Amino acid sequence: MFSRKKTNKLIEDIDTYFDLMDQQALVFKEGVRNYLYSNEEAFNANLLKMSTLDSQTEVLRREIENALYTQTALVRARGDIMRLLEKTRNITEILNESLLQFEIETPFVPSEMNGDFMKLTEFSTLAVEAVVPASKAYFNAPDTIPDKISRAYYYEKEAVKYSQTIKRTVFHKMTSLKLSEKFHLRYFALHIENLSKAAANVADQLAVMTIRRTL
Amino acid sequence: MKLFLLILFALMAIIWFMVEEFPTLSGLYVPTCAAKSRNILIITLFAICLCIILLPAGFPSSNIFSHIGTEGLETSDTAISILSTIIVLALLKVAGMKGSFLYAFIGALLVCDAAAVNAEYQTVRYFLTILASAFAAFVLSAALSLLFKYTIASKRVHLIRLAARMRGVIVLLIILSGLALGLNWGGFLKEIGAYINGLPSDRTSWLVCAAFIAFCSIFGKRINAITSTESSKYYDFLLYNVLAAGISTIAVLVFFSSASLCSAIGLTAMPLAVSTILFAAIGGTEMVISHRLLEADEYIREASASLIAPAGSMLLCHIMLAFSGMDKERGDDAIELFIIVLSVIVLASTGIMIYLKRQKEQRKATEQLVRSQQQQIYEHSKALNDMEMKVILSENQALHENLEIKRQEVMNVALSICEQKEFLESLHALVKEIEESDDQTKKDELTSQLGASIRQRLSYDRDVDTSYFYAKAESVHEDFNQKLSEAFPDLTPQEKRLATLLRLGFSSKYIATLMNITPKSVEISRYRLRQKLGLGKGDNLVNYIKSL
Repeated sequence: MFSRKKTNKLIEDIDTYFDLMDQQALVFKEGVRNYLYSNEEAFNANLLKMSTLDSQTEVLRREIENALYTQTALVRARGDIMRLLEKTRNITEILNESLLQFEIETPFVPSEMNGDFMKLTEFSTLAVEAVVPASKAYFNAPDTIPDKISRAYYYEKEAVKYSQTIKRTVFHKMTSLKLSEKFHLRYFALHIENLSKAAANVADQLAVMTIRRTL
Repeated sequence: MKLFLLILFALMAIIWFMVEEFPTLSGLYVPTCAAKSRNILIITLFAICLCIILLPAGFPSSNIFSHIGTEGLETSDTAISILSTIIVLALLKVAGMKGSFLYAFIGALLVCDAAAVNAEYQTVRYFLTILASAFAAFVLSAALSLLFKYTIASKRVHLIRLAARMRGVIVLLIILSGLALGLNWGGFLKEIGAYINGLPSDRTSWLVCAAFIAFCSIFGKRINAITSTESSKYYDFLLYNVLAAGISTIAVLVFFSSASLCSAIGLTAMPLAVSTILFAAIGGTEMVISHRLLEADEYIREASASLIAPAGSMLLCHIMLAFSGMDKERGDDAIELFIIVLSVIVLASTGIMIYLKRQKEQRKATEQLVRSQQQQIYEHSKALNDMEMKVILSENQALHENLEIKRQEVMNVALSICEQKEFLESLHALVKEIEESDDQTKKDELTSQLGASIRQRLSYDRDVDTSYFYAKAESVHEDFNQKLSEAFPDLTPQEKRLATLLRLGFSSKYIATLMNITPKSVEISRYRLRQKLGLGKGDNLVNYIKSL
C-alpha cells in the first residue's frame, strides 16, 4: 500500500515519459530533414523509431494514470497531472502522425523551400523541448515553471511567423506550383505549426497548474 | 414510553450523524484516494464503537451530562426536548441549513433543567463553548496552514513522493478522526440510556454500537453516495489544506472532550458538531492561503445553524413548557433563560444580516465595475470596428478607381486596334489601286494621297497618344494638378502639361517630342512658367514643382 519501490517507479515513469517525448521531438526534426533532403533510408529509420517511441509513451502514460489513482494522495493535483498528460499526449500524437503523413502523402516541397520548412520544424520542436523541463519542474520546483514556459511561448510565436511566411511564399511567389501542390504544402506547414501550438497549450496548462499549486 | 423515547432519540442521533455529520468529515479525505469511502466508513465506525465500549466510566468525556446537569430526566422533559429538537432541525432543513442534532437536543435539555444549580451559567458556558470550539479550530488550522506553507510546501520534494508519503498520514488521520469522534460523543451516547431510560451505561454502549452497525449495514451505499456528493461539492483542496483542516478538527474534538482541560479555561466539555468545527478549520486555512476554498454562503449557513439550532430548540422547548404549564415550578429561571436565548438569536441574526448586507454591497460594487469595464471594452471595439470599416471602404474606393482606369485602358486599346485595322485596310486599297492603275499622273496623285494620309495618321496618333498620356499622368498625380490650379489659377492648359512633365522628371528633349514642339519652344515655355510661378534666378523650377 505504501511501497517506496512503487513510488520510485512512478517518479521514474514520469521522467521517462517526458524524456521519450523529448526524443520524439528530436526524431521528428531528424525525420523532416531526411525527407526534405531525400535521405529515404534514414527517413524510414526515423519512422520506425518514432513508432516505437510512440507506443512506449502510450504504455507509460496509461501506467502513470493508473498509479496516480492507486498510489498517491494528490487531491487536486491529480486532475491537473491527468490534464497535463492528456495535453502532452496531443503533442506525441502530432509528432507521430505528422511524420507518418510525410511518408504517406509524400508532399512535393520545392528545394528553395527546404530551409523554411526546416526552420519551422526547428522552432516547433524547440517549443516542445521547452515544455519538457517545465513539465518535469512541476513536480519538484514549480516556482521555476514561468521562466521555462516563456521560452515555449517565444518559439511558438516564431513557428507561427515562419509558417505564415511559408504559406505566403507558396501562394504569392511559387507561381509554377499547381494549386493542389500549394494546398498540400500549406497543409504540412499547418501540421508542423500545430505542434508548436500544442506545446503552447501544454505551457498554458502548466501556468494554470503552477497557480493552483500555490493556492 | 421511556423505551420508545430512547429508541426515537437513538434513531434520530444515528440518522443525523451518519447522514449529516459523518459525510462532511469523511468527504474531506475521499479526494485524497488514501482510502475508499467504504473503508473510511468502516474505520470510523470501528473507532467510534471502540471508544464507546472501551472508555472507562470515569473518563472525562463520559462526564458531559453531569456538566449539563440533566440527572434524573423526566419522561415529559425528554419528550418535549426530542420534539423541539426535531421541529427545529426540520425548520432549519427547510431553510437549507444543517443544524446539529446534539446542539439542539442539549439546548432543549438546558431549558428542561432550568431548576438546576447555575442553569443560566451553564447555558452561557454552553454557547461560549460552541463559539470557542469553532474559533479554536479556525486559529489552529490557520497556524498549521502557515506552518505547512513554510515547511513542506517550500521544500523541493518531488510531488509524487510527497503524495505517497502523505497517503499514510491521511490514513492515520482517518483513524484518528474516528477515535476523536468516539472520544467526543462516546461519553454522551454511553450515558444517554441512563438519563432517558435508566439503562446501565454498558448496555447502552452495546445497544448504540449495534444500532450504528445495523444502520451502516443497511444504508452503507447511501451514506457513501452522500459522502461522494459532499466531497465533490466542498473539497477541492490541496493536500496541505486537507491536513491542516483534518488535524485541527481532531485536536478540537479531543480538547473539548476533556472536562478538566475545558474547565481550566472556563468552558464545558461537550459533544461538538463536526461540520461546524471543520468549516471553521477550513476558514482558518482560507485566511492563510488568501484563496477562497468555500463559498461565503456556506460559512454563513453553518455558523447560523450551529447557533440557531440550540437557541431555537431552547426557545421552542420553553414555549412548549409554558403552554403545557409544566414550567410553573421552575420559577424565574425559565424567564432568564428565555431572555438569554432570545438575545443570542437576535445577536446572531443581526450579525448575519450585517454580513449579508456587506456581501451584497460588495457584489454590487464588483458587478458595477465589471459592467463599466465591459462598456469600455465595447466602446473600444466599436471604435476599432469603425476604423476598420473606414480603411476597408477607402481600400474599396481605391480598387474601384484602379479598375475604372484599367477598363478605360482596355477600351482604348480595343478602339485603337479597330482604327489601326481600318486605316491599314484603306492603305491596302490605295496601294492596290496604284498597282492596278496604268496612268502615271493618276499614280503620282494616288501616291501623294497615300503619303498625306500616312502623315495625317502619324500626327493624329501623336495627338491621341499624348492626350492619353496626359490623362493617365493627371489621374496618377490628381492631387498635384489640383494644387497647381488652386495656387496658380492663371496657368494655361499647355503650361499645366509642362509642369506635369517636369514633375515626372522628363528632359526638355523628351518634353519637346511629347508636346509636339521644338526644344527651343520648350525652353521658352519653361521661362514663361518660371515667371508665372514667381521664381527668382536662383530657384530651381523642377524642385519647386516637386515640392508642391
